[in-house]
Amino acid sequence: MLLEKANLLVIDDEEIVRNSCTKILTEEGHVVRGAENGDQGLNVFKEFHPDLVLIDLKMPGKSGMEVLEELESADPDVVKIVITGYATVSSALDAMKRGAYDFIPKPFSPDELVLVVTRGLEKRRLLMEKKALLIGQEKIRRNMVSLVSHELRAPIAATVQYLEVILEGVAGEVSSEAEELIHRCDERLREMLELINKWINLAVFDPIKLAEHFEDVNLSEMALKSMELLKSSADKKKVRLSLEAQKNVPVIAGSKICLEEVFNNLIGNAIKYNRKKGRVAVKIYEQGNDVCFEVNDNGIGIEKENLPRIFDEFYRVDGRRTSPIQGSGLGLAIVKTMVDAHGGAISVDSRFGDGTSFKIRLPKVIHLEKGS
Amino acid sequence: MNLKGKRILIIDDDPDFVRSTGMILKSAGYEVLEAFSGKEGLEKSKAENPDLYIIDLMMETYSEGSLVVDALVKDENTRDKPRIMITSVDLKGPWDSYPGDEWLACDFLLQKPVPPAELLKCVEKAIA
Ligand SMILES: Nc1ncnc2c1ncn2[C@@H]1O[C@H](COP(=O)(O)OP(=O)(O)OP(=O)(O)O)[C@@H](O)[C@H]1O
Ligand SMILES: [Mg+2]
Repeated sequence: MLLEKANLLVIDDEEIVRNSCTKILTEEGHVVRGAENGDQGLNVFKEFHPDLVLIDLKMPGKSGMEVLEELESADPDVVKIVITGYATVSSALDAMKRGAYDFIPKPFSPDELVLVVTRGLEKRRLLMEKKALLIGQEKIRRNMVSLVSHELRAPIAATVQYLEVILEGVAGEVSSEAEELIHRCDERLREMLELINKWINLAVFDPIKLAEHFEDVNLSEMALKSMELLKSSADKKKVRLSLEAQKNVPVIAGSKICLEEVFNNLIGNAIKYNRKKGRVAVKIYEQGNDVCFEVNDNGIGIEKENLPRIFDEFYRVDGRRTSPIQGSGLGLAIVKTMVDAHGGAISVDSRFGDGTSFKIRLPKVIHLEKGS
Repeated sequence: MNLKGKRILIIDDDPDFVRSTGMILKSAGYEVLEAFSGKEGLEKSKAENPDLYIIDLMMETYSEGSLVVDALVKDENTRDKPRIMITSVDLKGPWDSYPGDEWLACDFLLQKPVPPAELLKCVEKAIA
């Protein structure tokens, strides 16, 4: 439907060819722009966003073949058709190897032109559909889980949005008690959104795919960023955060988004399960082939018998001390998954009533075997 | 610059979202136009020539929103108009990078629910 009226670009040095193409194709309902040489064509291409480009192979200056190649690397989804002089089949074939979808030999009749362009636009439509499908589906339908997550999120998001409109007073005055209740609704629903996100992310996590996007990561920078993010919640409990990073610690190969998650969860826990005026000390240092970081707190600690379960999904240590603290029990499960995906290891040491210490080692270089 | 009276077209198949977003925008003095599908959105766009678009990414189909953006970019009358994409897809997950704002050819990419203040800030920035 969106291609009935397409943007077409004709790059040809012969004015008469450009004009006749423009006339014929405009009558077909398309928007046509002409360019008299390759450089001009490339410029028009950038701001005109054509669906299809007709390129004369034989032009003075930049050759049609070069233009074709540049357009192909700029956007392979734009359909390119070459105009060849006196039916030189070999150059047409050559052009098709370099990304042309079709060719049309000069001279051509209006009907021939329309036919080739129509075929090209059909191809364009398919390419666009495929692209759109990839875009929309890649993330969302690759897994049924993600689709369900969208369907779960949508009604909650719509409800939260209404609540916030009400809280803004846009729908009329709200009594202070009602406001408090609506705030609670809002918070509870946002927690639910968080929970859905966390659970889905864990369910569809793919370590192999992640490793393909590894980059150099400076752990000290990551720690600082996370401490900055969590500073306000630490301040609320008057918990003191400190960082002790060895100088010139080597970078590791990893995913920043994931490691951010690791730091935020560990430091977040160390604050959450701490006491008023407690301390959280983060340490980063090199050890053999690994870079290590520790998150130490002098908070409530974990009883020995509960330690083995803290990395389980949805596990939370029960007991009076932790129950008023909100959480889903997914944080450490995520941390463990992330650390494993980086080829690292996590260990924990805790004394009930005294404090907890998490230590993570991440290899400086990671060899992740594909398909394992 | 006076932003009051600027006309904003919301394209979203979720009527609740259209309504609440419309209320936020109206309360700030904007004029609001509504469309409940990509097709209706493009028709309204042509007829009303709005100053800004707020587009939902996933409507009837998975990427209807990005097709609408494609169509707006292709048309020289709408190409330079600011656009905000909104979605209830979790943008941060599953931990591999989601196509960024520039990829979607929009000024902002926001996640539902959008806090009213944030929405208004983005609208202001996009229009200015
Ligand atoms: N630093 C710590 N000190 C004491 N207990 C901890 C600490 N970190 C984790 N725990 C215990 O381990 C449990 C599991 O932690 P985890 O981070 O997985 O979940 P959560 O914090 O309850 O929820 P979420 O992180 O998903 O919001 C917690 O409920 C808490 O009882
Ligand atoms: Mg936690």
